[in-house]
Amino acid sequence: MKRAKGVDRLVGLLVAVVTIAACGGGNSASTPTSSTKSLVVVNTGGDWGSCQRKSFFEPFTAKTGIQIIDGPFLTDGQIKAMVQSKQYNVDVVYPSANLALPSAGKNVLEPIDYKVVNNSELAAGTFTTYGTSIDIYAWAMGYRTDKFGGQTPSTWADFFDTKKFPGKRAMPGDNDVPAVLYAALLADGVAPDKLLPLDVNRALNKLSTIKSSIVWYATGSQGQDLLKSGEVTMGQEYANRVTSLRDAGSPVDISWDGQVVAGDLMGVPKGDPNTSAAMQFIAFVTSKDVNGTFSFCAAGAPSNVKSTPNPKIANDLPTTHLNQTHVVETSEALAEYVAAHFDSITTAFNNWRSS
Amino acid sequence: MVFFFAWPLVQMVFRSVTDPEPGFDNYVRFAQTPSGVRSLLETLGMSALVTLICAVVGYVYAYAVRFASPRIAALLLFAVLFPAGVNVLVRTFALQVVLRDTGIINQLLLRVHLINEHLTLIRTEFAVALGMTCMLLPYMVLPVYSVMRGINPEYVQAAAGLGARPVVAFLRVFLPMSLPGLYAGGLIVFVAGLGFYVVPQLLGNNAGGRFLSQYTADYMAQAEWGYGSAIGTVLLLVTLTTLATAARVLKVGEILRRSFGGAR
Repeated sequence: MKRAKGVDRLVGLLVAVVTIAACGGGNSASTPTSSTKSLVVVNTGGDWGSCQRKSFFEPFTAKTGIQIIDGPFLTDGQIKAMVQSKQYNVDVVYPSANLALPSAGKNVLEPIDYKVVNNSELAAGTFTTYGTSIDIYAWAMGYRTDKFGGQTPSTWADFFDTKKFPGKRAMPGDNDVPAVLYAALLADGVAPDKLLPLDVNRALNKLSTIKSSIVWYATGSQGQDLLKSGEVTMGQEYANRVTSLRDAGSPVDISWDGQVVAGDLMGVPKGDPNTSAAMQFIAFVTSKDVNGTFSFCAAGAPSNVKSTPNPKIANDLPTTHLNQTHVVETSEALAEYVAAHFDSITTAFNNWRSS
Repeated sequence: MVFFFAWPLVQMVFRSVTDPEPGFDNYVRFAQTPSGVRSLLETLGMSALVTLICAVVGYVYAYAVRFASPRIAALLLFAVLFPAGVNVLVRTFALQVVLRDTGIINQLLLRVHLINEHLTLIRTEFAVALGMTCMLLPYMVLPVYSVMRGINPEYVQAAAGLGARPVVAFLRVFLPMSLPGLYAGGLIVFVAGLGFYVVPQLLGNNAGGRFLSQYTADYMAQAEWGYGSAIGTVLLLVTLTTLATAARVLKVGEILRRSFGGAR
């Protein structure tokens, strides 16, 4: 049949194009070279990603001549698989706080070379043996300003009060289960320094009180979209996602009370051929003069306490609100505990969620 | 083919009984985890439901294509095939915009005062069924249409000529002859449905019924390869059992050969 032949040819062409495209990208890091010409660094895109390129990647290239190529975000499982198969597609990855611990990181990550990276200026709880924070972010409470008749929610207790503040709630159940549990425990009256040992049942019981109102989400953009469209009236959100919505004119605002603060840890896969250049990159972006420049294009707080953040958005940075109740998720105590109990926490949460 | 498809499957099965320790611990763990078993049941139940919906809708659609004028038939086929060329993610996001509380349907119904409060459309089983049906309908329409095209309409005319009313002629002559297409389409839709991830993730409620693929993702992200492999093996066994049963009872292999091979 004539027509079928044409279709076959088209399909063949498409397959060829896709194959070429797939081969063209992403393999630049797999060939070891004595002098590194390019580094593949995780870049998750969006406003955050273009700001990283502008404030970190381009200045680094200007200084060292090493090109930075955007790489995909890899889960801890994918990082482990990459190291096991020795296919180094990304040189600077974002391990979770659990993976960057001494116990878990040993076989997966290169220890950060703190002779190259100056950790004396980094905020406490933002660097470990196997990871150094590029910035500090937070899970905070975002809410609609147009749905509660002038009343303003401020605490996690308000978040769980669907009578006073009606509407659905967005929570990152497919992204960060511990952060969800911390919020529930704070709402139930647990002090931030009394979270350990984690009372998972108490947290789940608290969550049960609003279970039918919760919309679980996986990515920051999904959570932001739920709040923007008004499908939820409140959400546990990435703080920068809420403030950027507000700045774009959406009727939303943020409450910092009970924020869950965390560092975006950078790490280097064990055995990566570009390890020394990767360390150089980590040292550069966490240095005093460079680290703060990021806050001039995105609401990410610097991890280097000596750097100067953008004074205009100081009020939107998690680090400005540490005088209020907060939880440091990447602190060694919490991260160690969660890492040791990760399976039981996840299973308990999933069983509760599906019941 | 053997190297690219069979070998990884062998590795998966092997890993499910060796990682982290030799034995069937991974399978026991799965059987004893309520959320895991619920995911399996949800996956099977939803795939079966979608197969049923696709069978009804797809059959009527294919029938319309079969007996429409050539120009209309081409248009109808284009209408069902064209969306299949658009990325699943894009189509799922589009359905999100249509279905959500502040989406097109709800705004329209609110505007014309048919409803006073928004209908809960998104993050329901309904939304998942709708989304999966949208994605899988072409795979039902094509084999059914292909088989229908091979049926000589004179048989139906002959039945009518011998005094059968149109409904009887359809039910006793046309429908039985077109059943092979339904079986083949049903099998493709059911098996494809078992592996869905994007649609239930974006349109489902993510609470009660998560798909097995969603459940597994949690553990793969933590590099629990052994447990993930065990779940994969369970799903593989379910799929193979379905295929084997279908092959024996419905002789689907022969139908597929006839309907796709015969069309060339």
